[in-house]
Amino acid sequence: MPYVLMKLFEEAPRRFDKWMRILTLGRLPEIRDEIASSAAAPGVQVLEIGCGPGTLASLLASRGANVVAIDTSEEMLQEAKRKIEGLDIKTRVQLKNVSAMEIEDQFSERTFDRVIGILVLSELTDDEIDYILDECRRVLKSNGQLFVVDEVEPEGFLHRRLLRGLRYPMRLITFLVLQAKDLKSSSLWKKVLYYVIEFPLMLLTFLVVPPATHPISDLDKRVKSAGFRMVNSRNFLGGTLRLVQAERLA
Amino acid sequence: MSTIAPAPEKGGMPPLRPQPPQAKPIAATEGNQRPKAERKPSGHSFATFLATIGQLPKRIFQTVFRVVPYPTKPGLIRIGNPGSGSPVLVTTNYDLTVRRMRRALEGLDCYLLVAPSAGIDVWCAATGGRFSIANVISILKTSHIGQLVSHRRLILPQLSATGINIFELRKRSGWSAVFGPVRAEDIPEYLATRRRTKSMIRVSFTIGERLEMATAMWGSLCLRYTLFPCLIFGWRIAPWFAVILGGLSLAVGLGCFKLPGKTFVQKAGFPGLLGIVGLVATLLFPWHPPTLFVVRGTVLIAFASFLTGTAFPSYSPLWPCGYSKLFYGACDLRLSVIEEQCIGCKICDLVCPVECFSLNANRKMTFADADTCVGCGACLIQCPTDAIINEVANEHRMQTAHG
Repeated sequence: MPYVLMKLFEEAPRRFDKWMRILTLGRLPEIRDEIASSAAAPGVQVLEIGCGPGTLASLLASRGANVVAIDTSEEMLQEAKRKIEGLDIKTRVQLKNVSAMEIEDQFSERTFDRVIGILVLSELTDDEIDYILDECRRVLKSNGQLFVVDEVEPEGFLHRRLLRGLRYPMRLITFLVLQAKDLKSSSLWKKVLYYVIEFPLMLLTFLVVPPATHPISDLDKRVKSAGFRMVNSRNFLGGTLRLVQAERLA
Repeated sequence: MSTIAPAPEKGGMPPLRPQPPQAKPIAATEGNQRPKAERKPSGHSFATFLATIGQLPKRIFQTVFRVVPYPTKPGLIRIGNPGSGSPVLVTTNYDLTVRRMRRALEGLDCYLLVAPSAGIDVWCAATGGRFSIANVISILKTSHIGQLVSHRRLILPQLSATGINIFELRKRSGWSAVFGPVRAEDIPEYLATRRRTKSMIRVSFTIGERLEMATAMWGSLCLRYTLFPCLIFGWRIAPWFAVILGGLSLAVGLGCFKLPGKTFVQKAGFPGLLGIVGLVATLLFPWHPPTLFVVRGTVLIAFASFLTGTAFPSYSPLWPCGYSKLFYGACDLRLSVIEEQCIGCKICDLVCPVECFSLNANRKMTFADADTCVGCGACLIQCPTDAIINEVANEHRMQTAHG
């Protein structure tokens, strides 16, 4: 599926969940429930990377887990804060504006029982993904578990081609819409003029720059080589979304 | 898009000839000498010639469409034989920037960290929030540079000051950073002396750089605006329009200091007017071109000179850009220093590319020259005591600058 559209919905934290549910054809809430039921237990220490509006974090906390949820978007964190405000789970959720690349500086070795990242890695470069998987292993206690849900390329050749063909125009739409991000305060005619003038340059830029998100290649292999043992893995939505549950090797 | 401050990060013409593959390494003591002088003219072979030919389409693209990002792979580049005490330089993953850095650093021993910045050059990326502390941290971690060197000092390009607060960087990453020179060519001298001379701090706009930027402006103006006259006069006038834009870009680029007029619309209007007068004068001759040709030509030249006039400041490092102001509402900076908060650390002066600040009798900084300010915002970002304020409340700019 064209999960790249996610970048558009990040602009509106309040409606982010609704859009993500539509984008994953209703599967994301299911996946969250599944993760929450197998990852959370009273007293368990959880790190959620890229918590967004904090839906999974509050789900985990309501099952008794202590959650540290990190994200780099201040708007998303505000929304998450609003969500848990006034609830009794508030004390068990800690929200932090920390990027995934700063886990090393923020958390010491063997701190967490679970590390969870949903649709986070696909926004990063290959080097960054490998680095973060390494760090996830470091902050996990022995036998701690890592949960990764992310975009992958489906197995079948035709299927893969089809999805690539679908993703490309979606990427273009996302790219073009995000170009007007800085024009929020401008009037409509200015926006129209901007697009008419800038369109050729935008198109050229689109052709040269790498995509904002990309499906992860060899997700299982990378998780394994970072020092994990596969516990469970499942594909969703025709093999475009993959859930990997892995355990830290001692 | 890199339209916020599309000024060249480094000067000089793009390299057209291949560099000799090996340059004699220079010792640190004689580092004052530029490695250029040490190069031997030999080393050219048919293979390097072919490689250059292969590079040509890319080079042309990068020269004409300079405002379009062109990413290269982020990562760690070893220059020479760096050791644990070698300096660590940081730059962005704009292909041209990395190439010029490599060329300038030839013969030295150092590490070059190419941070992921969406393929945008240093100044634009830093101002637009694509070359921020997060990007520096990313490359510090993924390159494992901490294991390769014993020190924790980074040398950042000075123009990244519009996006990277070095005090915050130290707090968040544990690496202390200093700003190096504006231009890559000055790095060898800077590394040898560890002092930034005045010419290293300020941006220049030499004739070569002006030619470069005129070409870049021509490319993007053609792409952006050819549609409009074509809608009125038909597609056939497109090459004429490109030629007119080219002539005017060249005229404004080369004559930006000399042309009469206060604003750039006036400056570009001067050669435009000359062109129109020349065109109309042909009607006086018995064998003059068709009247319709002259009328169309007049309209095209008038439109093109307006475009070059409004666009040129955006392509210069010396004048604030009007284009971004129109659309983003950005670049609107009117600075002043709150004297009570100023501690006289002079960082604003050290990151200012155009020399806006001066020290007053109380050893406090004053914002001396509002006319020279290009509105890059580097001083706003760097000031450790928030003593510099923007009188035009502009939240948008601060948001983008902080990513």
